[in-house]
Amino acid sequence: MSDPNTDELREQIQAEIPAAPDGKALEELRIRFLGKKGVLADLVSRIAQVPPEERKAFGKTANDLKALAGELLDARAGQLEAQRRAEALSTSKVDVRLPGRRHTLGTAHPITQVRDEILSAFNRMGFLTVDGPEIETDYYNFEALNIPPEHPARDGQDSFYLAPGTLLRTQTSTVQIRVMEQVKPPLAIVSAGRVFRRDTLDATHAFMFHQIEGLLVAEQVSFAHLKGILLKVGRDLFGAGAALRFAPDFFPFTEPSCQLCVNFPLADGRSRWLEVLGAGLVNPVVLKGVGIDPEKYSGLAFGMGVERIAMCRWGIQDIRLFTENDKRFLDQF
Amino acid sequence: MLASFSWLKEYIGTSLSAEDVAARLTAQGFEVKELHRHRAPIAGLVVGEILAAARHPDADRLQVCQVKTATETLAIVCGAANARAGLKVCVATVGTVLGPDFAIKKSRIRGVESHGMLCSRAELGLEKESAGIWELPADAGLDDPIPKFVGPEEHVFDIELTSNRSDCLSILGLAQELAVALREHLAQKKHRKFPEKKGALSVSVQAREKTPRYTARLVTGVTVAPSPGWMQDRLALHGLRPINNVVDITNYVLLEYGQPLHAFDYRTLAGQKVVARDARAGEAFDCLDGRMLELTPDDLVIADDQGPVALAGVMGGRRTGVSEATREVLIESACFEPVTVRRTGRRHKIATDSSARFEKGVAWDRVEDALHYCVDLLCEHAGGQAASAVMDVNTGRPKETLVVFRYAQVKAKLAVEIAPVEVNKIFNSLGCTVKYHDHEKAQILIPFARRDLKEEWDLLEEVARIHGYDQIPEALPMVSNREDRVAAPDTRAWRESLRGLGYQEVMNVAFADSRVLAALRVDGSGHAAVLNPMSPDYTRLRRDLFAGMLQNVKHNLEHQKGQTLKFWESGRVFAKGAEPERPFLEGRHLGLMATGPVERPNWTTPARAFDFQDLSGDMAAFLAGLGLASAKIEPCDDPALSPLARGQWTCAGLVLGRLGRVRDEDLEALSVRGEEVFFGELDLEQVEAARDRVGRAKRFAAYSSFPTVARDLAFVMARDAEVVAVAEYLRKADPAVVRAEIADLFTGAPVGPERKSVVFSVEFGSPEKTFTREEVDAIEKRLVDTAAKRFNIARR
Repeated sequence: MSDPNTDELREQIQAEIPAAPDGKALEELRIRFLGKKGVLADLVSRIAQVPPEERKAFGKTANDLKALAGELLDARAGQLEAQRRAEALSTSKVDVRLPGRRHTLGTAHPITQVRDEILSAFNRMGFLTVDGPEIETDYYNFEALNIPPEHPARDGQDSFYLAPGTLLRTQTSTVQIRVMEQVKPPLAIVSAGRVFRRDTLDATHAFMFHQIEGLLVAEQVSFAHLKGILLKVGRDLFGAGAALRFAPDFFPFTEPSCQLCVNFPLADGRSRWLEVLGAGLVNPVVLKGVGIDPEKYSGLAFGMGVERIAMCRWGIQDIRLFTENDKRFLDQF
Repeated sequence: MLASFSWLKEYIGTSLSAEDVAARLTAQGFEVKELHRHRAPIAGLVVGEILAAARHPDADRLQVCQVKTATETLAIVCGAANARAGLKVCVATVGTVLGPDFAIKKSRIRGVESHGMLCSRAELGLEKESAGIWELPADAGLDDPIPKFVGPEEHVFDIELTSNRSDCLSILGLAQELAVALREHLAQKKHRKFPEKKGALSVSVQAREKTPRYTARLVTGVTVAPSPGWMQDRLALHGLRPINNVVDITNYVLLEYGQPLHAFDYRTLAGQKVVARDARAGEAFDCLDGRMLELTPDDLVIADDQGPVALAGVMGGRRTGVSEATREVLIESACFEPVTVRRTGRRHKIATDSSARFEKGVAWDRVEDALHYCVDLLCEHAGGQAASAVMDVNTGRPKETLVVFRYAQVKAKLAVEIAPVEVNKIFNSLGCTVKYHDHEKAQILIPFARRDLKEEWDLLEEVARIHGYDQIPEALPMVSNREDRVAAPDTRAWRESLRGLGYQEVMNVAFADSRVLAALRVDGSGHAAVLNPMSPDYTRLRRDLFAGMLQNVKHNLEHQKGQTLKFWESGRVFAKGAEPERPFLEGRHLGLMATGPVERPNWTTPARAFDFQDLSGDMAAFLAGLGLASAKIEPCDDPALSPLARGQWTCAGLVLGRLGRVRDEDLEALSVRGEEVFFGELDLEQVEAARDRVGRAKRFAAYSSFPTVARDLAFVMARDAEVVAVAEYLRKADPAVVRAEIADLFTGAPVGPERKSVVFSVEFGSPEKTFTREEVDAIEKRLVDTAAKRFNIARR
């Protein structure tokens, strides 16, 4: 049995919903057919006027129409969405090759990078990073390091004086003395910092540069330990296959003293041994001076110039570039 | 220190190559920086005789020489003053190649054709510098090959001596080291020792402390002339200019023995005497180098009746120097006190080969040897005769150094096993004497030349050095610290945050450039100053990071205008201290300076210049990263910053630093044009103190699981009203407010120029429930009403 009203309604549903041109029209149709005050709700509300024996069939028809409208609405919505995506592909496709909006990371100064790398290598072995002042007294900078007045070693370290006996430190070795005065062995420290010497500025000399200093004081420290530590760090810094060699050297505060050289290739195919580090067993005079018994404890100490290592590493020919702070320089590290 | 292989070989027989010897010296602590090779280029060089030398028609300094060779006569233009008729010379004929870019061609020099070149020794690589062309012996044959006059190939080691080994400022000292390195015998060189003659010289020493030993002898019958060619060659190879036989011989002995000598023209010595005495204050000294020095009583002089004739150990005087007329010379060989020589050299700014050796101390026992050697050479090569007694005024033989060496130290400190007998051999090879030894220790007598050997550990180094550093094993020790309290603060984390914010690290010198301080009109009176600056520009230490960083901005903008620059620097700053016990202060600052477009312009984002808000935001983010999110900016009147935008950071009752815009007049003063530049600076010690006060420990705070509701609250207020205070109030006035931020702010239409419109974005929430709309409405109304009343502002 069919009701002309419901037949007409079915036709409307079947015709109009699939023909809805866009989402807005489809939403209007949903409200018209399935809304709270929509056509089908209205149909259902009329069930009371239907004779009781027909009510069951009427109810089924109404529910079928609701289900049909629902299905068609979903189907059409799906079609329209697929259509929209297809259109977007041709109108809104992103050219992924275009550069992104730039947020530039900053840079660490090359000296900082080398310094961190060296400190980390020692930290990994258990050396503690410490610090010391740049304005120093003659005692810490020279005398406690076994460099009395008129000692020839002072010649190479012409100092800037702020007052008689007060100077800008010429070496980070000052930190050794300050630490040994404060803590008892065993101790193992490294320190990085600026040092100042009255050297005329040129491509390889600066009146301010950076050093890293290290000290280990414990029982039974020997020259073999010095070699072990420095060769390990040398390989960390210059590569596992780096050619490294020790040669005797002289520092007033170590005895025996040595230098560590690294073989660097030159542009013309030859290579050159370059001193990167000075070291030695701590001179017992220095230990006695800070109240450490040199018969019980022995120590090893080492020091290196950071600029020099950075220059070798990156092929920088002029030390002045480090304090010129040209962005074209800083950008490269 | 230069040392030729041939000279060393007079002491050591070796078949090793110069390269191998260089490696052995280096391994033993005598680093060979360069190995110079001197030899003559051969092909094309011939002997010539100058037949005639005439002045060039168009050039006063040039001569046109007619030079006869074995095969032809050539016209050669020459600029050397010593080119003269009759001279035998070395001719580089056309086609000779003297260097990579140095081939001899037929040329026209000021209109005169020249068919070759007359060579100097420098042009042939035989010495560093030549005064003129090479003068060959008069008996040179035109057929003789040039190598005949050159001698064999010479190798010269350029050795970097460590400052403790002044004994090796001599061929003899180096030869001894080389003998040890090569395990070779060191030959003893013999020189004649002429018997003493009658006739004492008047030699006296008044300044005994400064003159431990003074020896002298007279040599008569001297003929001053050029020294023999081989000696000249040798001196030139070692960097000394040949002068005449007498001076050359003293220099030759200095090079070989490391003992400086001085030759006085005996007849010019007033009263025929020499006295070693302190100079008198203001005494004048006519120095050999032409300078007139004013002496002080700290200077030691050698004087005659008329006044000083030498600045002892440093330089001789003009009046008594050796000249062509000299017939009798008094040779001085002495030992002067090192500190005196060092101070005198520094005071008068004279450094000579002589002072370099005296400063470090010469060996007591080599003084007399050197004197005899010199007299021998003068007799041999200057026609002299040894006259007079050998004068030797001294304070007595110095005490010998004896060092006790414990053999167990070798194993303990060097981690190698060396038998005591081998250790003793090492000491003996170095010239030490083992006076006594048992199985535990030895008593070692140190030779006078080795002033650096004073203690057991000095000897230990000798054992290590001679045994070979490469023979010592490698081992890794236990590395530990009894305590960590001396650890430096870790800066890596905050340095990374600056990198993330896009700042590039710069490093400036610790000095404040005086020119920049003057341009910025900075008062320099509080700066710590250097007593002995290197240049007038760097006399003061920086008090802050501003001037240095502004210089960096200027430098980069000069290269590229309008670029983005975001710099940071951390470093020490200095100042004069107020208290006498702390005359200088040292602090650690962090600086940020930025200018230019915020980001590189993009088609979706318009360009925008970096402004104050960018800087304050970056600094706030930085401080928040250190746990100081509560840090606030207060207006300040720092005169170094622009009154348009300047403030200071405060936190936990401490002032952490400042920030603001760089003053236009400062930019102008440094010629930085057309840019706004912003600068912020934090005192890192204050920052650390604030972190301590705020508390470094973190504690977890529970958060609500119910959703929040956000509302925008708009107000109109007076233009100078404190917006931040209102936001702060909104944040704290009601427990239901979880967040309150300034979302929009403007002045002008429609609120008018005297007022501003501010929109706060406020978020409401509760740990217990989701607020209903009505509840939020009620809280919002209460909040708005009380805020309006409290700050006298109106809801918009």
